[in-house]
Amino acid sequence: MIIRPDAVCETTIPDDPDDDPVTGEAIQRGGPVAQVLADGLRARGREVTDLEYLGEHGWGFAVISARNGISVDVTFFDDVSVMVSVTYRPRFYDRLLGRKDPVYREVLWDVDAILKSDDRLSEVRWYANGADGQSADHPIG
Amino acid sequence: MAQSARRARDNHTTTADHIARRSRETAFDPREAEALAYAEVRRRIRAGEDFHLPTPADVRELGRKLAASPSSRVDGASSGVGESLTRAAKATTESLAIPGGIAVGALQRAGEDSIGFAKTVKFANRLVNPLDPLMSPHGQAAWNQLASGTADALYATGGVVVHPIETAKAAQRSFRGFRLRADPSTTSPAPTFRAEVRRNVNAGRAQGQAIFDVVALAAAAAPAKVAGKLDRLRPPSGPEKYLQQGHSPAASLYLAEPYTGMGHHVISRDKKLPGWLGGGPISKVYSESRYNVLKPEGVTRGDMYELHHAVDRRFGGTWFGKSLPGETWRGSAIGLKKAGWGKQQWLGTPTPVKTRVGGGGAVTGNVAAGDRETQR
Repeated sequence: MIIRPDAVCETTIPDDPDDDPVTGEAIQRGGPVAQVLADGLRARGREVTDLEYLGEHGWGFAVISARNGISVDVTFFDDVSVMVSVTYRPRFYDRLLGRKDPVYREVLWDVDAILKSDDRLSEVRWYANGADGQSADHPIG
Repeated sequence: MAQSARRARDNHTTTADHIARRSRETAFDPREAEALAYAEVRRRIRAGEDFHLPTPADVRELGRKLAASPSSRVDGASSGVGESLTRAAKATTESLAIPGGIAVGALQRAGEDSIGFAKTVKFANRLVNPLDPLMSPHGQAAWNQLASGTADALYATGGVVVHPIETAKAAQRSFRGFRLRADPSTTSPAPTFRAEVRRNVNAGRAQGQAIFDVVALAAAAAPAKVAGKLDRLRPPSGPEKYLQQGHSPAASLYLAEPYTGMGHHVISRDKKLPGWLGGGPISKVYSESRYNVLKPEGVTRGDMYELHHAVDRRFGGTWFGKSLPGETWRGSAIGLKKAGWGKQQWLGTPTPVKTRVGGGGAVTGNVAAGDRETQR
């Protein structure tokens, strides 16, 4: 069974952040899509943190109901698409024993469902390693 | 008759040989030969050779050879090498043998320190192994060794404090010994080209070992701010590089500007501490420090994006903001691939961590290797 933690999807949600006034660096896109995902996960009963700006990783939040660390971040992919990454950070013993937190798989399926249920998001494809290589319709399988 | 003629011929030959040998033996004073031999022994020992003459016959033999061979004959009062080595040969030995010796010495010390570090890791593994006290001979468990080693270290430190003059003298002796090994000008030149090369290689080797030790110590002790300056050794890319990648002139100029973003966090900012440490977020003192943020000093935007792309699966590209509408950077568009695991670890580790870990590991290995020498 392959787990694909990265999704790329097209978006029509308005997203045009201003540059950082102090450093002049571009503020990344992805905030509105991250907000849609955070709201969707909350609606499904999951406790998530507030949205945070993560530099080149765009915008993200953590799923704090999980036993292990699970974070979701959304960043620029190209002019019409964003990249959604669901990152799993297992605890030491879970990593040692190769155990996957079942909540992680549930979150992946939830994110997939939210992306596909919003009319403003389309062409959802899941990747195993950062949008390089083969893609699939679903995050697991 | 025939027998008599043969004997006469043999006698004649034998007599001629005898006369020739006696001529050679009496051509010099045996005491002078002995003095030459001992002078040669002293010279070679000073030159770093393990050279000795075990029997009086060996002394006489060397003395005879030295006396009979004007080319290798050494005047005890002179510098010695002058007669046997040309200036060119001397220059060759100094310009090649010493740098070669430095390289050999540094590599040798790196090897010794690696073995010492591996020994330290093995020892640390024994410290946390609950079965070690049961599997070790009585009094030889890792914790026993640590306790006795700590006591020895405290005793030695106490000795340094209590006997400062003796310590200073020992340091002076040690420095003098090092200088004799490492500085070829402090010892007499060797009588032959080969021995002179060996003498210079040995001096270079001592220098190489010392240089490695000093660099390791400096790397381990250097503050992150200083270690980070090493990143500046790599010159920043100019806009030409980005133009060649297919970016517009405006975008190329933007990519060639210094990077001022957040950088790549080695341990993610949302990573939690383990439960037994409270399970809270990792302190920003660490998470935002130079040890955790990969952001090489002086790096350009374009180079940072390439580095970030190589080490982080979640970073594929970026846009340039409102100042350059329509311009974007994508790793895959310029043919970049994610680095493999090993390369990711190397590229993704900030320089201050590399210098601390590398220097600290070498110093630890050096101490462990030093212990091994003492035990031997």
